[in-house]
Amino acid sequence: MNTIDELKKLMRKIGIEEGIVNGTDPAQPLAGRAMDSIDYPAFIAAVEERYGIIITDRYSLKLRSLNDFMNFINGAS
Amino acid sequence: MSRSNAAVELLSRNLELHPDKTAYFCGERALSYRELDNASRHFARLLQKKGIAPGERVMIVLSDCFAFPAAFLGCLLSGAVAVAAGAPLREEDLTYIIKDCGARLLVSHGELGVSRSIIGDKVMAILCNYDGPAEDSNSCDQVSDPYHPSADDFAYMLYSSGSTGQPKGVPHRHKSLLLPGDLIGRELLGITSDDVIFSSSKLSFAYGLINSLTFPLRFGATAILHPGKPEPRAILDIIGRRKPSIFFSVPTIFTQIILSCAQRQLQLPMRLCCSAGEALPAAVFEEWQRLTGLEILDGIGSTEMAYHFISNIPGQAVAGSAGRLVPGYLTLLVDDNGDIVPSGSEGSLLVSGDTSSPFYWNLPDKSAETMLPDGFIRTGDVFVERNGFFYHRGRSDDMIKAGAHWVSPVTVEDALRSHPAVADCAVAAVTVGTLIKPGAFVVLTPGYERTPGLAQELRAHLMARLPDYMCPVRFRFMGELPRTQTGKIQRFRLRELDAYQSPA
Repeated sequence: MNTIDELKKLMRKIGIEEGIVNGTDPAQPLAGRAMDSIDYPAFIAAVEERYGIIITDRYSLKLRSLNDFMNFINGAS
Repeated sequence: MSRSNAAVELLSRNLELHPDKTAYFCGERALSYRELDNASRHFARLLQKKGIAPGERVMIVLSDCFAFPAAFLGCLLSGAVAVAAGAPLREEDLTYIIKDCGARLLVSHGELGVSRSIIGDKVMAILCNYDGPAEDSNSCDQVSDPYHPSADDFAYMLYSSGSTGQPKGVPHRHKSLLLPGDLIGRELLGITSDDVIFSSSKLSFAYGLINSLTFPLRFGATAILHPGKPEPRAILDIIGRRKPSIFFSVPTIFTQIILSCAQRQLQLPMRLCCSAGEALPAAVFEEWQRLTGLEILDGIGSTEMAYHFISNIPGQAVAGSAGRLVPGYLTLLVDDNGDIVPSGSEGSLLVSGDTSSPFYWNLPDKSAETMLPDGFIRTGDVFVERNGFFYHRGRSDDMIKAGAHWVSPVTVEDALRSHPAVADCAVAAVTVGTLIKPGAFVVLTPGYERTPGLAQELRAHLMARLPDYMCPVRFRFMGELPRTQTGKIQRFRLRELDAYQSPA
């Protein structure tokens, strides 16, 4: 499973609807499209837990799309 | 005509100066100052016809639309006390507030589904559409002689979440509605009749009420009302169409707008951006400034004080600071013994000023604990002051301020314990992606295993029982919870644990 697929699995895990997950363009910002202000921190928490990383305040504001998350995760590993 | 009735103060000057100027935009529609004055006086008359006497509480559960200011000001014109409660209230909170404030009349939208079982047979209702009351809408009957309040009469009451989960009624006098206009609107923000004001925080909150009612009406400006959820795309759409000069919001919304932006730069029409409700992280301040070229003026206030008493000022905002003391207020930072701490040391914040609420409704013990005999109010916030700037350091109680909402850990813990997998639990503030959110620490019932699926199940369990903002964003499973010798949960240790423990 590639990183984007794993991230989409995490989206499902925090309760994002299947149709929204499948329709998410990895290049587009997640906020306001696939996630609201409640989902976003839950997604960050799920990513931190899955990959054993800590996403600091400053980085979290740069991680806007699934591609951003993928690049961050791959850079961190 | 009385000049001490806040509604008269806010309406009459605009009616004389520019009756046809737009007071409010909502969606594609506009409401002039003349129409607002008429609607408010009509509403006041409607209250009189319903037999509502001066001093009686009238509960307003409306979204941000033309009906809200008309109903609110109508209450004040008739002498009734407007009890503004947020539309997304839980049924049990609504039931509690109606009973606690003793309202005989509820003003709400039909679609809110306020059922007869909640309000009971003794409570009358006025159902409104976005423009005003659906009943008697064609009547020209209006109050011509507004109520003349005494200095002690209450004008409005807001409900603030309590540490035990029960909302606390916070009554305010007429001056509490007017003074923030002068002390902050005029003196700090320089609001004039040329301004177009947009607040993403709703009128039923202290912050939104002053932003969208006092500020526009005090200065003959125009405000934009948005009845829907404050989602970033809707907000950016409104900003693009209406071009506000001042935008009031909260850190969660600023963060969501930043995160929703695909471009490197965002051109916005505002001259001022203001934040309150929770401490604005320095990272959000800096990223917003990089993205838009605008600073965010953070401030801190409380429902008990009606509005801000510490605020940054335009051109001199400091990232990570709530700002300086607003002239007209007094603050003290004290230690556990009540002694004043030196500059640079943490202390519990006490505040005093002319907008302070005298007590909590029907809560004499809590009032005595919070509203001190010397006129100071305990805010429950811990601050440090350096060179005149105040920096938020947390709460002295266990309450969590998440997305401008108060979250009582007790309420979330009660809901969590109703799941059979939960043997014991505690809820504490955790920081995720710059923002403070509730986090859950769970001891499992024997036979249940720590799996990601179980965390998902617990989250779904809470989402079905609590408002979204109360639901923990992170679940940590533990063998036992840290407790004091007397058995009290040590939430500060949970916060430390979350901050320093790498995710599993």
